[in-house]
Amino acid sequence: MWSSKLSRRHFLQASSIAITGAALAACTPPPVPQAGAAGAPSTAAVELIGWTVHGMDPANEQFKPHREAVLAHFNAKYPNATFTHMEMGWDEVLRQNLVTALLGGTPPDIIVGENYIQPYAEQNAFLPMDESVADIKSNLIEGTYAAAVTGGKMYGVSQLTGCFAFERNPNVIEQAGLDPDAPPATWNELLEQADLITKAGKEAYYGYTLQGPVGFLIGGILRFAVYSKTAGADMSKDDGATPWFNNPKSEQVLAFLRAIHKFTPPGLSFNPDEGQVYTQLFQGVSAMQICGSWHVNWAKDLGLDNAKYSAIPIPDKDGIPATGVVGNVILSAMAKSKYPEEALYFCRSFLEDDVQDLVYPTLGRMPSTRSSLERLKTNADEANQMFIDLLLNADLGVLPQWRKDPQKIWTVYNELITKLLTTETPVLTLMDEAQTAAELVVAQAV
Amino acid sequence: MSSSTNEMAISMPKTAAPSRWTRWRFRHRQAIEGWLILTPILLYYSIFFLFPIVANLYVSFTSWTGVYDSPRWVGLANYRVYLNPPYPLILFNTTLFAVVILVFQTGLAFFIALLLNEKVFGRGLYRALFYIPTLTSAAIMAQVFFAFVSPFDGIFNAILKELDRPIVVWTISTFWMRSFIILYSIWRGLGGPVVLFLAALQGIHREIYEAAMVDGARGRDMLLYITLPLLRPMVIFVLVTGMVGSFQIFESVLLISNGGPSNTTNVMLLQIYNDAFVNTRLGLAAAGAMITGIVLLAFSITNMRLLSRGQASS
Repeated sequence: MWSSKLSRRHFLQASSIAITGAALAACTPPPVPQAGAAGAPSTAAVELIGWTVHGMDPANEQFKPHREAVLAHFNAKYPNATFTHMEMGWDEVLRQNLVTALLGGTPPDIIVGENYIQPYAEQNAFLPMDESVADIKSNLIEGTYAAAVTGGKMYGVSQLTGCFAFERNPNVIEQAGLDPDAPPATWNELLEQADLITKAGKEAYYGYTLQGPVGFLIGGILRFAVYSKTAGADMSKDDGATPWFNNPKSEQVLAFLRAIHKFTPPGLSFNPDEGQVYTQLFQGVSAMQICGSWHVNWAKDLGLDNAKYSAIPIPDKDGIPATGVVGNVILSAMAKSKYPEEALYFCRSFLEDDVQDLVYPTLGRMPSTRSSLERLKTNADEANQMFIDLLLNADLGVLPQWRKDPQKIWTVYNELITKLLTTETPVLTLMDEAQTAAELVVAQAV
Repeated sequence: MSSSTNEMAISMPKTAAPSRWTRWRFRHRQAIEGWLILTPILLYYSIFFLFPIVANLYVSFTSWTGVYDSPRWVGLANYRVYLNPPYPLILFNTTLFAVVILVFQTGLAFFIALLLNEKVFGRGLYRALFYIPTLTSAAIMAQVFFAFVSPFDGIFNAILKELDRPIVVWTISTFWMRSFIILYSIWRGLGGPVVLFLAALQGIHREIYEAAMVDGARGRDMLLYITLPLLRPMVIFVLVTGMVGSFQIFESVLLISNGGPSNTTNVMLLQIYNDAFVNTRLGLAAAGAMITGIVLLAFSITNMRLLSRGQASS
């Protein structure tokens, strides 16, 4: 006969079975999409998910005009589609989240990036965009999407951009007895001015700010690359895949960096805090530096209202008017998106004229289409006009995206710069050592 | 047997003999119940610990970016990479940091615990002060740290300037960056061992010390022959857990030096992170994780055996 009371043993047995069953049920994997279904048009409502897409965060009221303009274009073609923005960090944090999501099978539909697009595109992570922007490609500035081009195809478009220019504190220059309205046009002029200012400063102020190397970080490298670009000294071969640290043209670049470092406030080059490095100019400790387009507002925020901007000084012999692209946000559509057509069209929506015209007033950044930049130029202040001119007319360089072990290769380059700035070892010797070390890294990559 | 019992036995219906499975289940019912009760926690442990370790072991024998491709079997190639620069240096750095931090931190924590065990005014405040760095955010502590060692406007260089000495660019000096990381780690990690040693000290009965004093023992004798032997279990625990923790040094290196200059402060966990998420070499990162795990396991087992043997002999 069954007892009406449940014994403790039976209770424990029943509980264990119930919990085990619940745990097994919870471990059921999500249904796997059928092969061939990816990309098939869905009759259900489409929801695109985008990570860290600038200007699309609904929580930020300042972005509202930009967000609405993008969605208006997108929904004109896909009225049932929605877009969900997720803030997933930038640079390393974003890449870490992306790798984790790819491994877990939950990548977004739209992703942003600056300098990892090529290696990921070569691994089929992104969708080619050439067809979706074919009719407006001539209006795009090539340097702004160059970092997304590999194998002759385009895997991203620039949503907004920026570039480097040459920034000066006229108060410090005038104090040193020089003309603040005469920027140096060549490296020799820059070295002369920096020397004079440093001597006049008597350790109260210096002629130049040079951001130096830190670990494998590329903040300083971005600025070195600008000078390399003006000298036509490529840092890589094979479309950016192979390091070329002993490019003969790089010798004069490195010699110049060694010389200009003597006019930087002692210790500043090796300060890991990039913000602190560049604010010294705003505070009158330094007279000249390479700057990004965001420095215009940054300087004003920190009390320097009359900072001056000019083109990057070029080598005295065979110099090229050039600069580097920076703060360039590239939009890409993930290959694993369930809605590839919608994702591609969503990226294209950012390039429409009315959307690009909102980039500067709402996001404080430069648009990346030719027509929008030209319209912005007519109303821009003198400082921003310089950046617009550079974007429209200068030779725009991008940093190489190493296919194998980028962290180790940039560490090798930063070691080269560290020895360059702290020793008197001949430049060619340092270049050859760095090239050997970089080739070893590439060779050892499994 | 009585006749009534015989009659009952004769009148009871015959039942089939229990099956072999039923008999087995009856004989092992307690074990079955035990396993059933343990199943949920075993499932949890298997899913979140065992399976990842086995999966990691598999991935360590493959070349895999995790972006779009599938793992490609490469055998021991990832492990052979650890024989090439800069990995031997990274292993050396990790071991150096682990041993130095462990030794100094344990010794210092023990000394502080001895002091805090004395009845002094403000003892509670001192205890809290030693534990505060452990509770504070590592990022904030690193910023505070940089206020001292920043090569441009740090306090140390400001003092050197005032003394008319040339400044030192700490961030490009291997010796100084290693020293700072060790000091920072000891500073942050001191609180835990202090609390543990203090708890152990307070667990020693005062009568033992009083009896020793009656026999003429003095402070040094009591420390060597009473305190240390009785604290041996806690010392083993602190050393083992401390080594495991020190070997996994990561945030202090990431926040202070980022592995530089020239990988001379780079450590295993930081390189594993870089290999996985910056270099997208999941196989290599997995191999690094396996090596780290094996080293820690070997150390823990050896340490516990040596110290337990010492305890048994004493």
